[in-house]
Amino acid sequence: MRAGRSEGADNWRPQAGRETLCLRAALKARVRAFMDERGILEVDTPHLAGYAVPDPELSCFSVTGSRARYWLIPSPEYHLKRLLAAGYGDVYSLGPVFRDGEEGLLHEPEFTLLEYYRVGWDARALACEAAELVAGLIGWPNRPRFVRFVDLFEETLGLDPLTVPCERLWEAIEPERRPAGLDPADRTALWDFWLGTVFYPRLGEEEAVVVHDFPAEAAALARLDPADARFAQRFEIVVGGIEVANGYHELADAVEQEQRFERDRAIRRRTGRPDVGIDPEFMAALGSGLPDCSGIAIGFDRVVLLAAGGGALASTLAFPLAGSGREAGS
Amino acid sequence: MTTYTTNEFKSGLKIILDGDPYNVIENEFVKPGKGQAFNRVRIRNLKTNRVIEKTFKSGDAVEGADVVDVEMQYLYQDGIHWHFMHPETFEQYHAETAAMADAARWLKGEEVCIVTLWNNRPLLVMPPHTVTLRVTRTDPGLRGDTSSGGSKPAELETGTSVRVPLFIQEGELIKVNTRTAEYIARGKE
Repeated sequence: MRAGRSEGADNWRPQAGRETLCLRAALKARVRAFMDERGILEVDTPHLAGYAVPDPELSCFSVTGSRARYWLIPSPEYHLKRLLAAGYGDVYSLGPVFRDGEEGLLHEPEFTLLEYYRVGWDARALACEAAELVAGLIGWPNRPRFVRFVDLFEETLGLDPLTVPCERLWEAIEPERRPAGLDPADRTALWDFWLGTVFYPRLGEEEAVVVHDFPAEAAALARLDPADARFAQRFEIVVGGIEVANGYHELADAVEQEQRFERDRAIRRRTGRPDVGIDPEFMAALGSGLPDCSGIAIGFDRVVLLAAGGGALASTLAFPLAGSGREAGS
Repeated sequence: MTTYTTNEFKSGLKIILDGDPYNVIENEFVKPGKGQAFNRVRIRNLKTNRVIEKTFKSGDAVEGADVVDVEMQYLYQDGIHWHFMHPETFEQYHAETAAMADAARWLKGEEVCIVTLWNNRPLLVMPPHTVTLRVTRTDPGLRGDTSSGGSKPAELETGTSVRVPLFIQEGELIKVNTRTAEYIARGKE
């Protein structure tokens, strides 16, 4: 049974009000105008792809066709990077992406992602531009505040999240809030817990906050800081307690990328997630040379939600799948 | 034994935590774009009725609690236990005082209650929504004052007290809402 939808004769009705859909359409138009003014080209990338992604915490929907098996893309990143590698310059896409099992107040299995790339830009320049875009869409004139990843921990807990013994990050959690099933020796899981459930919900009440210089262990597809390899040139933008964007100075080294993918695949095998093959065309594109660039993915529905005044993500959609994450007993 | 992973969590699911049975009220999924997911749930302890918040790493599994609600007829109390009977199997169950919670004060016999069974033992007893009981003691109401909406205490045959309108006399039957402990109307035999 689907969540968040009450049974009854009115079930066919759209969830979002007409006003919200007007806001949604207006914000889309403003995104396109913003990109257009800056010469960033809108491209349509496939939603049905031949490969899933090896991200150890992500599940893609698979689609069985009569001739082959496909995957619904969780992000347009690989295709956009193939365009960049082919020399197409700054590009963006604004469209649906799919992530299996992600349902909740701020999660929909199908959601709209704005992803764009700037050739020759570093992470900080892109963070400034993207934060300006997001703040503008929401109606916040403020310039962003920059906070280093480690400073979130230093300021709140007085702990250096990279060097402190792992148990300290565990013991700092109030006993009754300590998550069941979390290994107190799993440092990256503890980082995710602190960021996602403690720090972020309190961030960005008055201005967009750019959390930057993530640890190398959480680099994902960001390149490492050439001056200090303990950190990755990765950032996130938090507004009103909600993570709205994730950006990188993109990793262009095909060999390092392959090593990270293999590491991710090993984690998937260890945690019992299905193995996924690596997209050879993406790897070939990286091998042929990705231009120096930075890119960012912005959760468009969350931006609409913030502009509309908050609540559940489902309220920004005409026909949400997940709803509020609350389900009537069945 | 049934186990449930966090992605099966939904309101109404009964699970066991630290040896106690809980009912899931609300399940919230929290996940960074890149990184590990958590489920923050609100759950009610079915023994104490207390609501707590608990966080799980997504994918974590917990034991399901074999908890069912069954309608049963209240038979009698023997000084230690409260005895109930299943209307179809005629099987008898006895509940401890702790399981009676607020139910005891409303029961005199033959009421159909909802008995929550955990591993086939009564965990919690819910009385019927309304009960009809006889007033055993109350002061005579003041004549002519019936329209003022005033009320007075009345003791009922089960020993409990509720407030009743001034016109209710000793020996009368009244209908009471057990959830709010409020008088509803005069009762019938």
